[in-house]
Amino acid sequence: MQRAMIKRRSSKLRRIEKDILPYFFISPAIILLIILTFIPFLEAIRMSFTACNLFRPGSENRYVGLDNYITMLQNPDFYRVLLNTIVFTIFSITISLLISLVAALALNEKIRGVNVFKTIVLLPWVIPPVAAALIWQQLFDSNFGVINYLLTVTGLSTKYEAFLANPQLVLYSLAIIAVWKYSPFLIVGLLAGLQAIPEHLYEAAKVDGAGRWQRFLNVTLPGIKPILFILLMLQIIWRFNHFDIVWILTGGGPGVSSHLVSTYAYEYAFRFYDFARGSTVAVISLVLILILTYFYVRRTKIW
Amino acid sequence: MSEPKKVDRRKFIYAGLGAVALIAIGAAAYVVMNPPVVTKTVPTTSVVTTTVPTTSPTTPAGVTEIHIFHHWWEPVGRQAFDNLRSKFEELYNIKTKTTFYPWAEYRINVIRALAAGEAPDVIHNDGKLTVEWAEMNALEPLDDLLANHPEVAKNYYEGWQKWCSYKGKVYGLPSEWQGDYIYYRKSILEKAGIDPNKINTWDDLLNAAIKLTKEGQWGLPLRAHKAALWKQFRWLLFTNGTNLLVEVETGKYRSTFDTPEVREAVQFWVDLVQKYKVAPSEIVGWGAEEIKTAFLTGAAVMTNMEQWFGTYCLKADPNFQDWDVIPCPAGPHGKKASSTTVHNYQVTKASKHKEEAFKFCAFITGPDWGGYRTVVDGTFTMTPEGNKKLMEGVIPYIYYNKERLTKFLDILTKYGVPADYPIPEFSQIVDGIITPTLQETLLGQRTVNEALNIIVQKTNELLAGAGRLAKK
Repeated sequence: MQRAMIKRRSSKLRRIEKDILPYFFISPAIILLIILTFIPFLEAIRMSFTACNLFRPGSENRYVGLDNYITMLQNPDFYRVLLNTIVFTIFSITISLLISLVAALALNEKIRGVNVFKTIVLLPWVIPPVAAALIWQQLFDSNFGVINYLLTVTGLSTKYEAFLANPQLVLYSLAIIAVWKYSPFLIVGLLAGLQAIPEHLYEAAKVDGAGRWQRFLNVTLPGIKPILFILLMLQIIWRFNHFDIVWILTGGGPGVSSHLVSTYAYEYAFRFYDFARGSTVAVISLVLILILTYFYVRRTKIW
Repeated sequence: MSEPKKVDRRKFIYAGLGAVALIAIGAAAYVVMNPPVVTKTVPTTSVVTTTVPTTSPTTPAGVTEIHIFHHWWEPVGRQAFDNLRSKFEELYNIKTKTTFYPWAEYRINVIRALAAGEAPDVIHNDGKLTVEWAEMNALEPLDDLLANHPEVAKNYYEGWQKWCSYKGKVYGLPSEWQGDYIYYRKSILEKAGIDPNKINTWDDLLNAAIKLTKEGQWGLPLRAHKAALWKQFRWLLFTNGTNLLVEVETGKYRSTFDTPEVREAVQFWVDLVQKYKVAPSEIVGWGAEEIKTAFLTGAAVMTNMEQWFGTYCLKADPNFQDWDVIPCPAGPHGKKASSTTVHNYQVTKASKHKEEAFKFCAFITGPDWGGYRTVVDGTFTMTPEGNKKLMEGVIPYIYYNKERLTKFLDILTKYGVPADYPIPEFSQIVDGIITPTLQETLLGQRTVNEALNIIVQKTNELLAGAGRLAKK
């Protein structure tokens, strides 16, 4: 009887250990996620329906319905900012992806000194964004910048350009910095994907008479597709929310020609103390990113 | 390999709730074991709540410690400030602790500290932020403390309060008094046969700039970077007898951008870039660093800058003496002017040591020691006595010499006009409306008329939203 009770108790304990304990272990992470992400997220949504402005006492609880959204959607600058963000995201990701794929393929080859190259390739990623911004500020300098010097020496340009002050060039210049800074992450991810492709698939393809290009199309690309999908998703989210380098180098200017949704939201909230409008911009951008992600997920049919 | 186990939603929720309950119990236990000090919360604003303790805690040894936030971090400045801190500690037996932030991060860090209830006792601030934070009820009005210490106010120049007040209350003690000037390269003007002392009007300035402009040399680039445009534009308004806003009735304002004076100022600047091409269009991307490089190399012959700019150049090249300054010339509707600003040392509302914090503010801005603080960036104290000590060399110069200081002070006292920040929405008007619109105008993307209309409309909308728009 006693033995049966002990047995029952220990099986109950085992069940608890098996069923509940794992959840208990992950709960700190979940709690942090709730505190640091979900609560601020819900608060941002709530604030976007209020008149919250630090200069107006009590405004954080004064609900204004959809007023902030209507104002923002009637604001032509907001559409320019949105367009800037989309152009910046597409341009920087496309270039990043092409460069990273080529670099990852090269680094995947068994050549001497490849580890040194892997380290060098990672360098931009580990440089702090502020330092990176200052380096590029010097490189892009319209009077003494190295890039201008190289462009004129090689005959690609006849005059020195103000890359960060020209509204036609500024967004692309910033996108190039983002490509330089964040491509290493893509390269590392793609390299991991490439290394996971079994060698025998290439050998089988070779036996079947597949050339280099066909092996790339039929073995490499399908092999890295899952990781490529994840990396692309992350890149879209990160680039859409890109902030540091843009804020440091141009502050969104000249005019609003390099403002992205993140800098625009920040400016409203932390420069003008208008948390309601800042939250509104953030929520709209979140909705857009969700829509984008939804269609991307559906189209790729990976999940 | 076995399949990963599927997540049971109900158990997952139970486990999460259990953990939340544990944390709540822990937090409750912490509160029970550490009862809060009896506090009084002033419920006037959403983020910045003010806690006034019933007792004034001190360090275990019985020595009070005050915490200072300072937006100054280059090595020479920090060293000078640390020396002064030590002197203060020695004289007053009050400990000090300083947190330095670079200017670009200063504002956000102060806001964060205020919102988190970790406000320091003293904040070093510029006039624009004074108004913003006073409106948020984050600063302690100093009127009572000044009344208790009448000797402090007597130190400063008459009228000093206009740089440190908001809605009739004084919120700071003044430091780093400076104005703006037209800087010029002496030898280049001399070579071109231009007498800088004869530049009295905008037309004189324009003619000189045209004469000085040639391949690789700009006559008058005025920096128009996002962070600096307003500082440049301000002198054009002041020298043409106008300002950004006009107070039509008490506490109610209207934009001045529909007046002829402002139109002339905008047109003058746009013409410098587009019509006369005495400044490059990329000037919208030029900040202090670009102007400094251009000025040092002679690519910029004249420019408008504040007093610190000379020290900024001298830090880069200690032998650079081929420069001088003149007052900003008069526009068609105004007279020569120098838009003057001061920084403030302020006591926060949340300070637990207001008396001690006030003493520190008085010390660092006062006639005895203030000069050691301001001389680092070439600015002046707001005290006649302190400035006299600077002139007499009692306080040693770091970058400027007597001749330079005399010239700066002469212009400042003769032509200085206080650059006031009458309302807390000032940043939003300047950074959110005027700067991007004028940048686009300088780049030729908008006409002057369009720009003025946009600025008037948006500014008045914003003033109306804040309940500060005056009737026409």
